[in-house]
Formats: sequence, C-alpha cells, structure tokens
Amino acid sequence: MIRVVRGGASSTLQDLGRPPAQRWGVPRGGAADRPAHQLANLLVGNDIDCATIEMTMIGDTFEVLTQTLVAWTGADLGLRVEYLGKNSPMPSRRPVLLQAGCRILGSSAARGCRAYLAVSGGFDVPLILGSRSTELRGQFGGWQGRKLRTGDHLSAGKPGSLSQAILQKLSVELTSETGFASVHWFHTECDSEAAPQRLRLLPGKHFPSLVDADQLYQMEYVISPRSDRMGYRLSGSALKFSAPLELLSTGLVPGTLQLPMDGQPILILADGAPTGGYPQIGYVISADMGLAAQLRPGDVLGFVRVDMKTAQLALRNQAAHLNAIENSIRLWARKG
Amino acid sequence: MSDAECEPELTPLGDAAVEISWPGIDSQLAWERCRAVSQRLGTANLHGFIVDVSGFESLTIHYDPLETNWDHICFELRALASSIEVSRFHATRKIDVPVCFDPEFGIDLADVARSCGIGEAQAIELFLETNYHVRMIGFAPGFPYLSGLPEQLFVPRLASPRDAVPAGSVSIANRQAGIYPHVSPGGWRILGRTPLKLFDPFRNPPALLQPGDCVKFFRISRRDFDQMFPGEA
Repeated sequence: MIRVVRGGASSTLQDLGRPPAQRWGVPRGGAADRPAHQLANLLVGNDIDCATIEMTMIGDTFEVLTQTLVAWTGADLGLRVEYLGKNSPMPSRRPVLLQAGCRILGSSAARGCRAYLAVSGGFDVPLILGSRSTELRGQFGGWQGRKLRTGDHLSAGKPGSLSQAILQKLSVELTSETGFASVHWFHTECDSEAAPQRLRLLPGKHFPSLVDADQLYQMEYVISPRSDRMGYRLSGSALKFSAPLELLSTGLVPGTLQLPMDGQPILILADGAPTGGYPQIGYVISADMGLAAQLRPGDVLGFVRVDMKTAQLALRNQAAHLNAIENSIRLWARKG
Repeated sequence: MSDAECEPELTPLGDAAVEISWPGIDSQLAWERCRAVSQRLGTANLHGFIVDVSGFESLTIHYDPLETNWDHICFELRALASSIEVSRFHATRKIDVPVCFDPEFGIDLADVARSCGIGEAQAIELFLETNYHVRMIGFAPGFPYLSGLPEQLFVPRLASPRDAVPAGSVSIANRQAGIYPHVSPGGWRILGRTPLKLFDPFRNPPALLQPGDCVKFFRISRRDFDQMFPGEA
C-alpha cells in the first residue's frame, strides 16, 4: 500500500493497453515506453501486463505504508528513499525492498522523459475494457481515469511465487539504516542513456507524394512543448506534398508520422486515436517506440529509413532480450 | 467485375498493422468488401491477429509481429479475401436515434440551412428522411462516421474547430454525419443533440453503434429530451 504525498507532473497507471478496444474508437494506450514498463515488472517478479505507474518529467513523492517490493526503470528521475530523517538515492533497474515508513522522493528528469514504478503484485485497480491503463481524454481506466494526486491510496494485487521469492531474498538484507534493501546487479538493456538522435522509420503510404521525399531523412526536428501521450508535435522546415491530399479517415497506429497542412509532422504515441485523416509519411518501428517515448520538449530528432525485415527482426531481438532478463531473474531468485 | 478489381491492395501501416482496401472500385462497394473481411476475421483465426479497425473505405488489421510476420499475414489475408463471395452487404441492425433540434442544441442549424439555400424546416426534413450507414467508429471512443447524407446538406467543416462540442451533438461535414459521444474539440456543424449515450466503457459492448449498422434519426421535443437526459452531459 502506498500513498501519494505529492503527485508528479503527470503520473498515470499504465499496463500494455487495450488493443482490441481500438475497434470502438478507443486508443490502444498503455505504457509509452513498453520495454521499460515490462522490465520494471520483471524485476519484481510480475507478469509484464501488471499495472505500473508511468511518471512523466517530474516524479511523485510517495509514502510507503507497508513493506513493499518495487522497481523503477526508464528516465532518470533521481528518485531517493527517505527513512528516519535521512535520504539516499533509490537504486534503479533492480528490485528494491522498501521498509514500511519510507518515503520515495521524486524530482525532475535529468535525462529522458518517462519512468516506470512497478510494485510486486501490480497496482490493483479494476480492468476496464480489458486493461488497467488510464484513458485520460475519455476519463476512464487506471486510477479513476485521471492522473495521480495528493491523498491517493494505491494498493497492490497478490504477488505471485516469483515475486515472493525475490522478496524473501531481499528481506534478509533489509536494515534499518537506509530503509531499503537491494541487489548489486541491474539491467540496462532497456535504457536510453541519452535522447536518441535518430529513430528508425518505415516509409509511409503517402511518403511517395512528398516533394523531394528523401529529405525527410536529412531533417532535424525539435520536439515542441505542445506534446503529450497522444503525440509529439515536431518543429522544423515544412515538408510539402506535390498536390494537396484530401483523405478519408483510415486506421492510425502509434508510431505514425502524420503530416498536416502546416507541414509540421506529428508523431503519434500510445494515446493517439485509432483512426485519422491526415497523410501518413512514415512509421517509427515498434522496437524504437520506447526510445521515442523518452524524448522531451527541446530534444532534436531525425529519422533513418529501414525496411520491414529489419523492423520486425529488431522487435524479435528486443523480445528475446527481455526473455533472457526474465530467465536470469528467475535463476537468481531460486538460488539458495 | 474483373479479377484485377477483386484483388485487394495490402498496405503496411508500420510493422504491426496492415491496411486492406480496394482503391479501384466504388467507395460503397469497397466498404462492403471490408465489412465482409471483418466478419470473416471473427472466425478465421489468423496467426497473430489482434483486432480489425474500420476506416471509411478500408480496414486496418493489427497483428503481433512476434507471432507472425509481414509476408505471412499478407498471404493469409489474400487467401481470406479471395475466399469471400462477392455479394452486397445488408445491415443486420437498425438503430433509431432520437434527436432534438432545439436552438440551444442545434447551434449551426440556421447557418447550415442558409448556406444550403433552404429553410430550417426543410433542412431538418431532409436530414430525417435518410437511412444512414455507420461506415466506421473512430476519432473518439464511440464516434460514428455515417454515410448517406443528402447532397443538399453538404457543407464544409468550420474554418476553426470549437474547443468544446457538447456531448451528444449530431453533426455534419462534407458528405458525412457523426455524433460526438463526449465533450471534445470539433469542427463539424452541429444540427441537434441526442440524449443517447453513445459510449460507456462499463457497458458491453461499450459503443452503441458499430460499422455496418443502419441508422435513422427521429425528432423529439425539448421536453422529451430533458426527461430522457436530465442535466448536462
């Protein structure tokens, strides 16, 4: 059980979203940086679709009311653990067992945009349309359909056997010094050390209609502050079509680079609508969407062209890495 | 119809979705083929299939690239599309939607009638006598895009969209009609308001309308509206 002492800039419960609900006009939703979310869950022995807290730019301050096994991944939000008047950095990318009475202190992201806090058993809220993700515009799902704020009490589901094994191993190390116990190892496979310079892009269905289309791969865009979980607005030299395109609505997927009339692209993220009528000039590959989710206003972004084989292979490799991490955590947890 | 016109076009939307369409044929026929594919997908057990989302005259199939790949899903989709009999689609559901044209609700009704060179009463009559079809649900949860709007009522979108269109607003733009389920920004012209709740995440299914439905609007008075839907949405 944890209590929100002070909400972060924009913290919401997320899991892997509700893909089948797209047929009802509902965004797929879910964690914007899926690998970081999945890693946080694996580190506490959860299934990857348990709900985590996605913290954006500024972390929350939480009070830990009962002994809790957690892990945090993604952007460097400089989380610290405060206990009995002292505080120390909260280790990231590894399991951390917190003593009852600690506080987790959030601050602003030194690098990256979104961090994920997982709790063993997953955050416990009802499934709405098959998911615990927060649909902010529709005001449903997650924590009461909204961002976390002061006074919210969050509880966790029942931890599985792997969670319990991790907790057992850490509880022998728990001291009253720092208020927490952790391990010396950590996983970096899903890290974004710095904002990516270039995202891998598949050509979009309207890419051939651009004037001098290949200049897209030379462009440098700045992420505008008018960005959120629905999408990033990119600022740069305007791209143009050889003739204006009046399009009927078609399907729209996260990762799509849309080009509206003003020539400034929009990169669709997890909360984008599942249909749209703007031209589609490219698609960021699924494997790079985690990196995309770590972009913040002011970051500079470019694109590099890849083909379908490369894109799908990259995703399979990413999944294989996460499987390897899961296996190594299981082995460690079962060791005497 | 020639064989070439029967072959669908398969377009990748990134590495986890594919759009199926028939660009060479009439919009209504293309949409009917998409409906047929969508219905067949329900029982086809395509490898890695997640969900299909209707567009105005296309269908997007979301799949898991960890369970299948681009080449394989195309192969399975082409086989599925070619196994479907070419026949006309008939709506299986007909939904009657009450709409109130009270001036407080029909914010753009007078302007639309004026732009079209007809009286308000005639505009309402034209709107009500048509059978509409739900082409797709999109833009917002439960928002239906309806085809069938009479030509005499074609008006463009607003030059600048409104920040907040009231929930239940029955609206038109170009050749489409739609209903805003929830308060949202919007640029379509508002003719009236329905007391029906088009989307409820706690209902099963959550959207009142689905692609393929036939929709007919009928007029209700302000008093009837207030009784069905007291207070603001």
